[in-house]
Amino acid sequence: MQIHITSASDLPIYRQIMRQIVDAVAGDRLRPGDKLTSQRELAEQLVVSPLTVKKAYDELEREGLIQTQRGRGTFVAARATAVDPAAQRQRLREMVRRLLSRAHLGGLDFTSVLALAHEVHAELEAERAAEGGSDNDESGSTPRESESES
Amino acid sequence: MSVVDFHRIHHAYERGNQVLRDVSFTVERRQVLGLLGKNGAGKTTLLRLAMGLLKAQEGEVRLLGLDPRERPLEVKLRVGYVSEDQILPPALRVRQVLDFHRGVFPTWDEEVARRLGERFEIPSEAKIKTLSRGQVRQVALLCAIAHRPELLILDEPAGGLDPAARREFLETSIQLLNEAGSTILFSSHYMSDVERLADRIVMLHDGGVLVDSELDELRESYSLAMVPAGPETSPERLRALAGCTSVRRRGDSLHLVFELEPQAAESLLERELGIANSRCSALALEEMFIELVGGQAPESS
Amino acid sequence: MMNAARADSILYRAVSRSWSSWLPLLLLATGLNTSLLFGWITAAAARGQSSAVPPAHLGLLFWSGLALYLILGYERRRCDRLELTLPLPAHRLWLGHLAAVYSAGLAFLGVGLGGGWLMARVAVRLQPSLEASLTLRRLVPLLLASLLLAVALFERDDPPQHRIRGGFAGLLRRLLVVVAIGAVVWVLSGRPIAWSLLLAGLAAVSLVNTYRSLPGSFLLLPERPVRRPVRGRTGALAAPSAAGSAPRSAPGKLRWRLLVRILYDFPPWGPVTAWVELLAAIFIGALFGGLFELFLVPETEGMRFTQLPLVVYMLVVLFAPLTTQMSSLDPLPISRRVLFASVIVPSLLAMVAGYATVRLIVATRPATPLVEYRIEEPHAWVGVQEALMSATRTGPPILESPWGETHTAWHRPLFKGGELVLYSPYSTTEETSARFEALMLSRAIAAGYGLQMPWEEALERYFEVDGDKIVGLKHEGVTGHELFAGVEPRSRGPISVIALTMAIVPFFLLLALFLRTFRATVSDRRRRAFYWSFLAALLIVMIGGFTFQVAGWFNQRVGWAILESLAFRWGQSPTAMVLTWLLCCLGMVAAYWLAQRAFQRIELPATPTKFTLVDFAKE
Repeated sequence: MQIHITSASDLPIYRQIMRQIVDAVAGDRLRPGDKLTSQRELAEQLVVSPLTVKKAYDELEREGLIQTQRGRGTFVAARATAVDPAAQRQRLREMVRRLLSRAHLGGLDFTSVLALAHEVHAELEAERAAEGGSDNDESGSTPRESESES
Repeated sequence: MSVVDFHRIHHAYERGNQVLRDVSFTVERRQVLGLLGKNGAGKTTLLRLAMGLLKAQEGEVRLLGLDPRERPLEVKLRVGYVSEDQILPPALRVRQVLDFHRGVFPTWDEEVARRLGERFEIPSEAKIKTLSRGQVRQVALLCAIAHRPELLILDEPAGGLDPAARREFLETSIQLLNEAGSTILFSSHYMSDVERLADRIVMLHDGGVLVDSELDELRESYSLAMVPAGPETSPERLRALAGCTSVRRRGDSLHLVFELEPQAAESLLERELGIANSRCSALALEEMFIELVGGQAPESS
Repeated sequence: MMNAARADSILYRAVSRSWSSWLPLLLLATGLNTSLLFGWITAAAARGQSSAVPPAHLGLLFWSGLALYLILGYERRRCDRLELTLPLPAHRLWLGHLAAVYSAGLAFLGVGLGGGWLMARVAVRLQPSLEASLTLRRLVPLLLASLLLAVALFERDDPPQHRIRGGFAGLLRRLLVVVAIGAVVWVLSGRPIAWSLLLAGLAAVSLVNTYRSLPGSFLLLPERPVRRPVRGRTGALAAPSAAGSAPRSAPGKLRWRLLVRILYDFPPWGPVTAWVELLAAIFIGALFGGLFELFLVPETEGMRFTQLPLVVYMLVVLFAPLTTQMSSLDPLPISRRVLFASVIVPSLLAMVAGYATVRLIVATRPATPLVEYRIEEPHAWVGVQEALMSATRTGPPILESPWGETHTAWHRPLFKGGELVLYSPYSTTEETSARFEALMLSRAIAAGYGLQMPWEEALERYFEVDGDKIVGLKHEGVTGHELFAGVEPRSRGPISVIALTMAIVPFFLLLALFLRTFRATVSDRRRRAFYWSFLAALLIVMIGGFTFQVAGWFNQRVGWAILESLAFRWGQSPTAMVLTWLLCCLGMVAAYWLAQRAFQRIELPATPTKFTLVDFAKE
């Protein structure tokens, strides 16, 4: 499990941890049933307070993404549901905002951006069809965009 | 029972130089509390009061339920303390310093001392004065931790250390938290360290507690808005807005800190002042510190 | 467990309170003690009449050595900051502290008494009749008890604090205690031991009292706000910024004032002490100027010259600590020449001021007679001051009268068995005839007072003669100015400025040498080692001077006397006088310039070397 946190971010550390685990699940780097690094170990790995890690895990568990089994550890839930739609929407909103301002700088007007979006969507669809079926469009696009952002 | 309890503390060094005014807060078991504030805000004074090195002029200090002035030995036996200005005797060897502490603390855990000593790679026969600053601090930390204190008080523990030494210091503290479940009360100017280590923040300003909040809550409940300066946006008017905690002028724009989430702040500005093009964002801890205590000239001086 | 902790604590205390920082103070105390005592003894011996040193004087002498420790070297911290944060009871820490300060006091006392004992042996060789009065053993209980009492009184200061008060108030308090106990020592010296026991009893009561009032743990700072007048540090520190903003208004003046303030008001080892050091410079200058002889033994003027190594020593001691300030001052746009001057000039001026003051007081007093004639069984003599004597490199000359009577002149060799001798051209012996004595006297009067008196007249005027022998004096004793009221002795010449030059020039030369250790390639340890050995060497020179004199290998008094006689001669001619002054001033300026050049070339170490008399900077 690769998690990188930075204190220069305007997100609190527990949010950074949550987000990266969500991204990993969404991006298939973590699959249902996989064991997560223990809270203690993760705290020492990331050099952050154990309570912060605990808070991130607790939140994720509340959202149903992970499950803790006493004495065995923490695992990705069998049916990892998407995170809170309102929050998701908010995050996308930020990205779209940045996308549009960059497009504006690059001389692209809104319609050409929309055209571009359609183009990319079509590519993704094609890829997914090749891989053999998909079940979640929305979260599928998230990790790629966040990768291109960073 | 709280591990640390400051109750209505007043303290002054000289007349007219009131350092602490009516400061109250508590630290709960297993909590890591970061004490923030500008230089001279009274952080060190507060930590010295906790150690019983000073006596509160007004108010009460309780550590582990005990008054550190009345029962100094019982308190000190259960507390570890590292401060920036603490001087280990320069002529002694590391081994002698450890022997000394071992003699003083009955709960000294040789295993912890040995492990930390190996980790820090401090030559035990070296004299303190030949060590680097980081190494001396590590020896001090080792001494403070190896007797497995219930409470660790750190006054600017990383002051003057390079980033690598600071990280090492943090790693050790986090290990301690994991293993011993200690409570930590620390002060620091390194916001990145605070962010990594602290669960809760107390920010001292102008002698009082300006902020006392969970760190994550704090991070999510404040936002910074930048609006262009103009007749519509006089600082007085902005300050009167609900939730606005500070207004600072930066060139031709004004920086406003709201105790609101960014969207809420944006919509507030639009609703109250008709500013549609304001830009609101969450704040990193360092920015928050500067916005909250940085630019304002203290009224008293 | 507790026992182990206690042992550790005391061991740790002994190691951490680094004794080495007391070393220079110990050296200084020894130097002062022995030189003062030696001054006393030689003076007493030279006078030849007082055969007993009053015990009160001796008591005060050794107390003064202890006073130096109590005022400057006393460890004010009852515990250090580390111990403050550890679970150690204040009572135990305080007992350890008591043991440390008392044993340090004992060390000082031991060294002082050791030096004193040595000097007493020397004195008894010179003057066996002193033996009875120089038994130091009887003083020991009194001094021990007084030390204990002083410690007890010091420790009464604000028991909850982790250290006893410093600053001006603290210094004043310590001074008062030391002076008061000094008075007690003066009164009780030579009294029965019961009195010492009484003092010790008082001290014990006070200590028990303090012990009982100790808190569970010490405080770092006073509980109540310190009521300090607003004037002071912050004001002075604000001054530089004010100077910066002022548009070039008399930058020179401001800079000097600021520099001196920074150097003397804010030394790293605490304010006030630097000014105390200036007082010390005045004192040492006065000592060199003859303070001691002024009040105690006016007849032995030349004794003051033996303080020369001590003067050089003190100047170095006063200079070195100020270099700790250099690392903060050097980066500022101040030329090294100005810096050097601001470090050197104040203490130098203080020393010269002390010296000049005493010389001026001496000048306004009735001058010591240059010539006198006394009859003291078994024989009589014409006595002249050293200034009237002469030196020759060909062994003692023969004095001859016009009528053919001869004898070998009174003389002293500079080196044992050497041909270079100082002799008195006016000496007489037991066999000398009355007219030869009158002749010698008349010649001496002519040399010392410029009065021409034929020997026949002198014989007639002063002596009662039986045949060819003088059997009595017509006056009680013959001294120049009693007999010629209104007649001034001739000028002693520029000896004062010569002596001053002889202290200042070597100081600057040694300083130039010392400053060469301020190189990046010289480690701090080596620099300090050089410094201490440097100071120790000066004291050895001084004590060695005394020892050689007693052993008769080298007589420094003769050396100085030769110089005095030369100065006297130069003093008779205005040209020679002006020339001497000029040369002396030139010499001092040249030496200053040399030291300054060495200073300009120094490379400051990253962390300043601590040369402080006591390690005040520890806190």
